[in-house]
Amino acid sequence: MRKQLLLIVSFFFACVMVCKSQTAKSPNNRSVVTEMPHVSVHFENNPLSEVLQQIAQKADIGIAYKTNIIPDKNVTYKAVDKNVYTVIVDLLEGTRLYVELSKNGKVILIKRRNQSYTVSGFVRDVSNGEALISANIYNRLEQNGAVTNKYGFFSYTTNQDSVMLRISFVGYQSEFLALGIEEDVKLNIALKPMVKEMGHLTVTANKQIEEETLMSSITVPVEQIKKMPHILGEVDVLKVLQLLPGVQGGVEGTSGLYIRGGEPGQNLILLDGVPVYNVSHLMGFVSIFNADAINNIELIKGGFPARYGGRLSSVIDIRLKEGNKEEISGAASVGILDAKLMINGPISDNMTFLISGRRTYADLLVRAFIPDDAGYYFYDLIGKTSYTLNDNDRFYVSGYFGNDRAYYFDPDRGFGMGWGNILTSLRWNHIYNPKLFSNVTLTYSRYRFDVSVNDQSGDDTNKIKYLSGIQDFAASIDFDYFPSPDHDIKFGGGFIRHRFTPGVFTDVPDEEDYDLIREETYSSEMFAYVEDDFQLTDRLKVNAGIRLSGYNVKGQFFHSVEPRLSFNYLLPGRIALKGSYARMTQYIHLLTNSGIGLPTDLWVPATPKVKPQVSRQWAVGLAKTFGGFEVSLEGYYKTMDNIIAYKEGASYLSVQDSWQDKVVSGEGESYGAELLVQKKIGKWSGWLGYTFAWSNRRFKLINFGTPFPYRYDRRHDINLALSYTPRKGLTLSANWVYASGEAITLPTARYKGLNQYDEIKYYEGRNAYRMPAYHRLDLSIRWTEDNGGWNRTWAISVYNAYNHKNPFFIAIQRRRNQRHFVQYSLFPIIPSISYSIKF
Amino acid sequence: MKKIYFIIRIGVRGLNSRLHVIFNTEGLRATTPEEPFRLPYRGLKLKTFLVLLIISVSCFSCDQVVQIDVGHENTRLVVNSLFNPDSVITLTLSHSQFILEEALFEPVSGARAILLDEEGMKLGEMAYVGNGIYKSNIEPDPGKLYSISVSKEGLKTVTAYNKVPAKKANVVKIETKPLRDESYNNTTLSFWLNDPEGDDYYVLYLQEKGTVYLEQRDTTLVFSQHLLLTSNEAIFHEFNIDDISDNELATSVSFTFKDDLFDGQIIKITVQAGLRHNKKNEKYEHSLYLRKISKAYYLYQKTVKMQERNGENPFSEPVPVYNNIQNGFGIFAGFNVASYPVVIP
Repeated sequence: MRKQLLLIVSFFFACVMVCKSQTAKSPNNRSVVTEMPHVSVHFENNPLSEVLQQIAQKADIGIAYKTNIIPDKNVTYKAVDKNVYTVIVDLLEGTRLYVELSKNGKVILIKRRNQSYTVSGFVRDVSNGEALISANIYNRLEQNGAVTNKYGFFSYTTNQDSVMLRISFVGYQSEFLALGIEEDVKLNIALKPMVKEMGHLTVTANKQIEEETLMSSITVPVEQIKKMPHILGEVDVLKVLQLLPGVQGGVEGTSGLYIRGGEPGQNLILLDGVPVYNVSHLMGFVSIFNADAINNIELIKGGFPARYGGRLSSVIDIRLKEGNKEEISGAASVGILDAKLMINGPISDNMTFLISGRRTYADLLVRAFIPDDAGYYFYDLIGKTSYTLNDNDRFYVSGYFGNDRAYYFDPDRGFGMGWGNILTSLRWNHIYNPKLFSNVTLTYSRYRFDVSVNDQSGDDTNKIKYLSGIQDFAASIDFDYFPSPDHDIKFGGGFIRHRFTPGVFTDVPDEEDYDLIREETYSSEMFAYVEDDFQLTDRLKVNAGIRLSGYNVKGQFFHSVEPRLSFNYLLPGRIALKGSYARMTQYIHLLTNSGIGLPTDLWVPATPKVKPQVSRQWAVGLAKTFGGFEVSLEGYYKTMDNIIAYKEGASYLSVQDSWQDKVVSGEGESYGAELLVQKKIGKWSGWLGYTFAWSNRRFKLINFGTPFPYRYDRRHDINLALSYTPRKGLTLSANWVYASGEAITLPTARYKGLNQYDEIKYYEGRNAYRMPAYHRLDLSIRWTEDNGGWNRTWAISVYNAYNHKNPFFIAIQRRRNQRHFVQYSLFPIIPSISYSIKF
Repeated sequence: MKKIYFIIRIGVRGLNSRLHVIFNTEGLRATTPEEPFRLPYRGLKLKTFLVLLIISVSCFSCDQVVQIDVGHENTRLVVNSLFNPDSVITLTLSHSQFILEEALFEPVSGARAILLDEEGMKLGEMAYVGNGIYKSNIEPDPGKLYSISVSKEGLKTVTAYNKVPAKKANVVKIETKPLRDESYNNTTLSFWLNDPEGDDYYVLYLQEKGTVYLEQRDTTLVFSQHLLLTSNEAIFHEFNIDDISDNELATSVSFTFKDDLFDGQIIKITVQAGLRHNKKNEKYEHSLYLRKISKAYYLYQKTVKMQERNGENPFSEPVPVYNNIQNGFGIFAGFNVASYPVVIP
């Protein structure tokens, strides 16, 4: 399989290189050129301007140029039955003019300039000043352009004297700008959000999918996420990502992401550039990301550009809003589960803020049924401020603080369990010149899980504390360099200092503190990268890069060279043929035996004994836009080495051994095909995703060394997410999910053991059988009333609308005097309601 | 503007109330059939609707019997045999059952069990002695490979092979020391095991043989038992992890362990046990037994224990039990036992 894919990839590369050699010297529109008329001419020392006019008349074509650019020179030239394009090119030889052809065959003469100039700036939302990420800036004259980066910055360099720019972003009205360029130009472009009544205006999406070099990358607009059905009235961005092809959701209702056969610990989830180690509240059922505070979400499943690294399976880049620059605004909502509030606005002309908070009140409701001294709650708080020092320097400070806590107390004993993240970052954007943008980031992040038991029932006081966590200090610098529209070069580097405390168990008898096991590990990770997204020919775009990473732990240094390559070759009919290869190295492991994504999962470092994880992924695909539909079809093959799992029978609770003695290393393999049909704008929007995939694992000490299917090896996975907005303020939406049953280990026989009463169960192999298929329909209606400056929205959702009993686990049980396989389900139909206001 | 209506009728059995809920382009309204479209959606009616909606959907059950095609595993022969040089090779024969069957494991009679040597030459046929037990007349030699072939009409013939470890465990020294502060008569027993190079597997247990004269009945009671052992030796952790308490003490009547932490070395091993002293009418003899077992024996014991420990926990991965019976199930494994008298000071 691997060899076959390699061959396919090599073949595509070979095709691409052949095509390149054929097209490299061609004019910009080969078919138009060949269809141009042939002429016979003879000039003897005639002025060039006159000659061009005569040729235009004779060939009956239009030749457009500014009159002052034609040099004052005479020409002598003779041609018999020659293509007029070739004739003009011959006549312009030795001048600084060159020929551009429009699609209708019009000849445009353009003067080359000695110097190029750059148009640069930011694209923002006119109503609140938020940066628009991946907005498209397109010059219709040269048919090329630029895209805004994560801070809304773009840079476009041209050697022409004028540009006609179209600036577009999904869900916004496009802006058109015609500019004469005599020097570098700085632009701050504000786009207006699209409203339904403005349907007659031009609305264009971002760069079309067939123009993007990268593949396996999906952006879901936050507004679309908010329209989708919720569980318990809660908008959950990670659960929306679970509806995309190539992404499995794990146990029902949880926020775990299993991407292309990978595991949750292999996802690099970034919140404003800071890695997040625990992404869920409520034992995995609610993600920590508050949609009201989010500006943009991008998921990358393969073909990773060199700027990303440190995880094997995916990058989920979540960017927070900067804060409204125009006025104080906000949103508040109340659902069944929690209440939240977000306020943002300007502090001064050059400073903004955003504060967002959320807290569940489940504990307050539960107190009606159980004693006051037991409960559970979670909360999170997000804060961000941006400060614009001048045109070239901006600063951002952001922080996330979130916690879950369950507790029980009585006079004699107490129990508490909590887990939470702290994420903070300081960023400095600096524009050195219109072509060079940089971002410096300093971050601190901490994830901690603790259990404490305090027992005073006997003569002695016993306190036991279990603690696990990870803490990072990181610094990085990233540069964006835009030398020309054909190149977008990114380079940078960084350093991360990790502190791991996996499974520290502390016993505190009689106030005398001592540790059973203290296994703190410090390690350092460093990286540098460079990548270039460049136009090799008219039809071929390439993103090539390399990432070097190193890792120092317990005196041993690991390093990795990670080549990255993506290409996009435009086939006839504007179908993009895409391919990619990426090698990824991960220096940390997530050790889990629940398979659910509980906070008990341990983040542990790679060590001399437990090596870093490595993956290689190849992918090929086709992409095309049909009307408003983006369609992509991709196939991938991924290998993973040095992934870890608990030894059979081992558990995180056995405190006697180091975690390193409880794990085994092995390998994984996954491959499959994914189809995505997505419509981002219009009354109807949403997507259809289909995944056909395999995912296997092999550990020397598990399943007697034979390969076995991964738990989430689901053969078919279909997701349909639709929303319909018949009129302003009313949205109906529905999701339908179908997934083949997950793999399960079941016994098929029982037999007598050595001892008389021993009964042994025979398992044919791990994960050899399948649970019944999973399917579910969610429905939602949102209705918004506009009350002047206030919007209020009711959202009613129904989860699992036809109450399908989906499998959670299967056990053998006696029913009606016989043993049966009995399936337990988790969520029946769950209606929910939420009310929110926006001001 | 054209209005679009979505009407949901809600009725709750036993309650004399019905609600119409209307979504239209003007908003959401809850009404009764008698008063259509008159009640505003804000206020009690909507709350009533929601409460009723939740009640009406909460009548569900979360478990159900499902059919899963695991194939109907054919019945196979099950061979259980542990052999050592001190007795003839015997085996117990039964057959397996489909996982959803509940019948008892009946002994299998009428089978043909042949014992072979390491060249595959027949050493003899094992005789059926009842209750599923087949007995040979061969006492196995240490280090020699033995195989069996068991056939029964209607079932697949099963085969297996294994050997008794070539040498017995070598204990070079034994020490005992009373633990005075214990209310129970506990003794610390230390022994020095000389482990040869290579993978070795052991089972440790302590036997107490006693004769107790009961004066009132004028009877002498003779008994033999394995004593309960406790230890904090790290070598016992891997196998006995579920027998370990908070203070790292493992407790069991036998400890199975391997030599990966002391391969080729002399190691001191300490355990505590309740060794009873001789009294007027009570006499006790204590012996330390150390079985040197084959790898198959060790893996079988270990995986059986792990499977038991996992139980029916649906959130942990089940552990398959080691099986060295070709075409069947069970264990055919050898061991070599050494015993040493223990003297209480």
